[in-house]
Amino acid sequence: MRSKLLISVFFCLSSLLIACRATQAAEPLIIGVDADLSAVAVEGGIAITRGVELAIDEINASGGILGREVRIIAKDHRGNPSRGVFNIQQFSEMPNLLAVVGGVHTPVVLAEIDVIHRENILMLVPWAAGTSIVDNGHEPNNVFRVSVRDAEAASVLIGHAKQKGLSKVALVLERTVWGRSNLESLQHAASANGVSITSVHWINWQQKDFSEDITAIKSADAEGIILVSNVPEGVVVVDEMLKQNIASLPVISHWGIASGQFISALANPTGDYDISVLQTFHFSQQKNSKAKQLLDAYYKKYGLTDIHAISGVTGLAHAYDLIHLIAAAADKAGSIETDKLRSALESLENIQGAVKDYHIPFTADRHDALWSKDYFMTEYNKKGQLVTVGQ
Amino acid sequence: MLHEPTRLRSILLSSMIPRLALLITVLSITLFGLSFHFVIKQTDNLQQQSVDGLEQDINYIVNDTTRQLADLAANDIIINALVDLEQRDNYLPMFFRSLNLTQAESVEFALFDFAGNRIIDKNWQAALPESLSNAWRQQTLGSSNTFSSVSKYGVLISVPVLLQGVAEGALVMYVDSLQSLLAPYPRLTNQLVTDKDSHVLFSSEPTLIAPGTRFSDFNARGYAIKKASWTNLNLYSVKPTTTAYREVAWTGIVLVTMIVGFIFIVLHMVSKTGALAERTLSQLYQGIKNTLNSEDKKPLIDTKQIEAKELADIREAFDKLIWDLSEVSLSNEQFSNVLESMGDMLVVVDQNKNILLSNKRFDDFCENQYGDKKSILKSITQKLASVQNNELRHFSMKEGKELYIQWTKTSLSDANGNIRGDIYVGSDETEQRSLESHVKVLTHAMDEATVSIIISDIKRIGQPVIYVNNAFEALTGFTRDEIIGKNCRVLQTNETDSEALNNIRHAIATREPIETTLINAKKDGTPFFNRLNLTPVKINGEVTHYIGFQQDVTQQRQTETYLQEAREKAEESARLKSSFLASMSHEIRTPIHGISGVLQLLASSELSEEQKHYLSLAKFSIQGLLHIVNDILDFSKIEAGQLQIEQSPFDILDSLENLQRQYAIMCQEKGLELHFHFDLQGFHVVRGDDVRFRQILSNLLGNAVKFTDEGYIEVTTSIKQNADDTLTLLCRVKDTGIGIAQDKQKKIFDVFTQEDLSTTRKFGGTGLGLSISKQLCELMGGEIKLDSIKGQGSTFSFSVELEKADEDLLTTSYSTATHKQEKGKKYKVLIVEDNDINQIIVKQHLSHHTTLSAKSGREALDALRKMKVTFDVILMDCQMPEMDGFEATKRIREGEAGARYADVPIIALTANAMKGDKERCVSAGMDDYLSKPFDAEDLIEKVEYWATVEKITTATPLL
Repeated sequence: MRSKLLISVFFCLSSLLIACRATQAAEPLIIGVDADLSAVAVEGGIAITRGVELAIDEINASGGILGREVRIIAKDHRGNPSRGVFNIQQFSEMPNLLAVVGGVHTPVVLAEIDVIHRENILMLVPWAAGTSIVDNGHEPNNVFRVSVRDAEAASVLIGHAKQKGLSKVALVLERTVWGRSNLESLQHAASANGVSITSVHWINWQQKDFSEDITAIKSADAEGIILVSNVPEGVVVVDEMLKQNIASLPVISHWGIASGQFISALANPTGDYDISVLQTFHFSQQKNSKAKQLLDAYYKKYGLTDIHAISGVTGLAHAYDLIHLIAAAADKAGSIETDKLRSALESLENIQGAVKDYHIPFTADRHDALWSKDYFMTEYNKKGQLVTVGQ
Repeated sequence: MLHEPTRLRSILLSSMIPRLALLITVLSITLFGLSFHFVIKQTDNLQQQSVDGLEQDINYIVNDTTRQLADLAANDIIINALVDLEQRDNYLPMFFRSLNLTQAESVEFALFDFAGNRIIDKNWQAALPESLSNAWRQQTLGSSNTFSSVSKYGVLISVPVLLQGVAEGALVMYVDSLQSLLAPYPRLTNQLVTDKDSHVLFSSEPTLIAPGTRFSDFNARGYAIKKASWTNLNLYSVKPTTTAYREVAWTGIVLVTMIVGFIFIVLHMVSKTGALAERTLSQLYQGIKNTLNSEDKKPLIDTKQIEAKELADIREAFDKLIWDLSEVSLSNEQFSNVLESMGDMLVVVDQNKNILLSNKRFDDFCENQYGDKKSILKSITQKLASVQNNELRHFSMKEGKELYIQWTKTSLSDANGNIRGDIYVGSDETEQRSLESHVKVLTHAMDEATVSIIISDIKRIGQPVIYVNNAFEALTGFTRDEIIGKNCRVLQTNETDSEALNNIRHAIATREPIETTLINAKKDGTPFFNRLNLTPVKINGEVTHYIGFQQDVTQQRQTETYLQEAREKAEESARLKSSFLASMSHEIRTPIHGISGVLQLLASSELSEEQKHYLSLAKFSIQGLLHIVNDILDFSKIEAGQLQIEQSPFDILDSLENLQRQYAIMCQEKGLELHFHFDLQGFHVVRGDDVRFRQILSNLLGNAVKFTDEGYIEVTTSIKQNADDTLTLLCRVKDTGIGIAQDKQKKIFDVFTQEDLSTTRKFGGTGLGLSISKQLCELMGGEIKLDSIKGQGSTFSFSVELEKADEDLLTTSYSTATHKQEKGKKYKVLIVEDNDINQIIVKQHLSHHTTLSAKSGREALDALRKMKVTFDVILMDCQMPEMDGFEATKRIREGEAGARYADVPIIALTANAMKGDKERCVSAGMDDYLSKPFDAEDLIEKVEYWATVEKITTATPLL
């Protein structure tokens, strides 16, 4: 996976160099990618990188930003917040940095918030959903997000549970700041929707045994489980459910498990599961011209594939839209200074993206571009691919 | 002990001691040399063991601690802590505080992040040199490997905290010196660990060699040293040489003590052995002497004293010898006793035929022959020489009969094998001879008997046949040679009844006689019915043989079977006929009901006089037809055993008066007089079957009216009380009609019989009436009789058994329900009936009420469930397709149509054809019933009655 990525990065860089020589002599602008490219959410990291690459290809093909070519530099934080902080520190020392695109993990991005503001660089978030990433208390706020916002996600997850006729659910949350961020919003949404929470269970990263918690969930007669975790922990939870004969209990998952190959990692990938996953983008859901353009470009660059087989497709689309938004902002600001770019981003209007038509993507008070009405639920088909509910 | 008391012992001692001394000297020198050798070798082994043990300990400390540390690093709390920067301070310190891996006190732990920065620690005071600090970071954080180092800087072990196979942090343990880690382990010798520069890292005896010094400075004189190396360390075992020799000296002292002890023990044993031998020998001598003198057979032994086995054996042998000598004198006497007690004659002669010895038998025999022994013997020897066999006949003078004696001659030889004479033994076979001839006669008789006889020996294995006679051979085809010695099982075939066989086996097992019939096979396989009579033969109270008498009863059996089958066929056809009739009658009743209903409907419409007349004719015909069908139905019920006689109280006077009223009109029309005479003895209310009683009487009355053209009809009824308190009702119907000829009177009660065909032509009728009446009388415990003279009239008299009943028992109609009937009120009635015509008729009859019809129980249930109106009464046909009335009623009562119908009145509409219909109605939960065909009035009355009844919970159904 890593070698494939390196090859693609290399290919990208070499093509950029050629383009560079052809157009102008000014130094290329840099868009950093700070994501997990080798540990627990590799598919998410790659999808984000590809979204950035595809957008940059389009931008460079139409003359770059402010006439300057754009380059991508990807750094691997392996889901480790300390590495993330280290990466951001390194990016901040690059003179031509336009912005940094973050990765899947909320804990990593949250750990980076202070250094981002200290060094005054822009952070574009295409995945990490923690509410406090955007509501971080910094003024001015350098974080812009095209992704799910946990506070909003909770109402969609609970709403879906209610729609499925569940009145009692158990929460399974990863023991990180992301899990905690969701606990609050889920509790709030549950009480607002009249769904009762039977119990709350925490799971550590790389935890291998979840049997006592599943036993407790069973004995509490929960009618469903709301899952907020990444793939490895999600697999431990669902495998334990199978072991204790409640595999068919509905699992309504935040999209963490969509950041990797979830179904194939299960002990029994062909089991009779009822797992629905929150998503914001799917090629079979969004049929606008920008989405089609993205899909064509994807096919062209990474080869033909089933649209259901593109994993981490949301990261792809979010990153793609974010790059186009920052490009539009740079054009509007006529500068790459962080403060001017921030103001320009906050005043953009009517940008057609792959995910949706952004009427006013961001304002000074609202750095989240997507809201609950932009979310929808998907399910895994027999091949372990996500399909929109009802498909 | 008196004889040379010290000799044996002194011999033993003087000969043993010098040899013993030499042996001990050689032995002790060898032992001492060997022990010296082994002690030296042992010391060397100990050193080696000590060094090996030390190596194991270090290995264990490093490897085991590394493994434990790696387990910790795989703990998800540690991994999660690397990601959960925000909250890890809540749980990581607690987790770290609880860490404890080795027994050393000053253990330091720390968790480092991927960049080598310390996240958390426990006692971390390590001041590591740059090289070591870099080394573990490079190995663990850089290459994700475990790292361990033991050096003068202390012991450091680091393991990576892995996320997807790559180190995201490191868990490090540090102890400042090896001394503290190894100190708690027990040591065989003094042990040292040094690095390659001979710095002492660990010393088990710090007073001898202090840690931190150089081992090369240590003066090693007077010490044995064993060395080994482990990675970059040297391991030593140091043991002072003097301790080794001290052990040898100790061994020497132990040896000398042992040898001295050994000498004492040997001397003691020799002296003891001598004493024991002396004592035993002198006791033996005493014993022999005593035995010979006193002839006391008990040897004098003091059993309490110890004695060697060999010596004891010798004395026993002596004792036995003395015993045998005294026994020989006894045997001579016994020998002559034996000879005298022999049953056979015995005489011993020398070579000159002189009698040497003869027993009493022989002497008696001679006396019997009135001869002297010698001459008799002579004649015997002569006779024996002349005849082939050894049996001689002698005439007994005393008993006057011939004796058969079997003589045997044996040579008398001495111990050297020389022949000294002859021994003659004669046994009396006379009795045996006579038994033999007796047996011959019996055997012949059995052989020639006409009954097949077979005898089995049941004491032998397989219980073989030991005898069969000629008749057996003739019966079975087996010859004697083929059957004798085999089990008589050869006669069995597959068709043999296993029950019969089991009975036989059981009888043989219990030694009982048995007589049974079973299928056997002849030799050629032909099966035959064998009537077998087995008798046990008892000898001395024990059954040893079984005698079987066999008889071929095949012919008889076949006849019986044929008769049985014929009877079954006849009964079957009778049953078929009855059931055919019953079902036909039932089928016919349904259309009759239709016609009757339609006629009733017609009658209630507006008609001209002529039409009314025609209608009355049609009604009359229907009544007649119904009468015939009922007769047939009754008859077939009786035939099929389905007719039941009721036992319920009724007012007999009431019944008789009813009949009188009914027939008075008919008689008046024909110009006949009708007289009724009662003598009821006050028993108005009796228990019995009112309907059937009336049926009989009405049949007889009907006949009387039918066959009488002028004169009178007289009915006399009387009741007689029997001794057992039952009642007998006698009833006589006398007419002055055509009468019945004497020769026809017997047949008049038979089925389908009238006096003759002309009667049938003239008067009509089925001829069933009298037959039914007769059967009914008999069912009611009575009889029917006829007394008639052709042309002068007939008198039929019958009797039935009745029981007394109390007047209070008479069930007044509908007494168990409160009843508020309102005339002219409209009720809602559900008619459940599959027959369209019947449905229409009922509907029409109930046209004053609101009706709804359903075609099956299923439809009825649906209707009750779905319709909003509440029905007051349900009329329920019993036989319906899909779901019959019984099932539907049951379900309604169970609340399947809703709680409001659980107690709805249900009236059954039955064809009343089969036995048990009524009971089924009751058990299904129906309240009342109407038998088809029914009158409109009855129907309306019942419906209106039940619609207004408020059922009380304990109400018994009126069926």
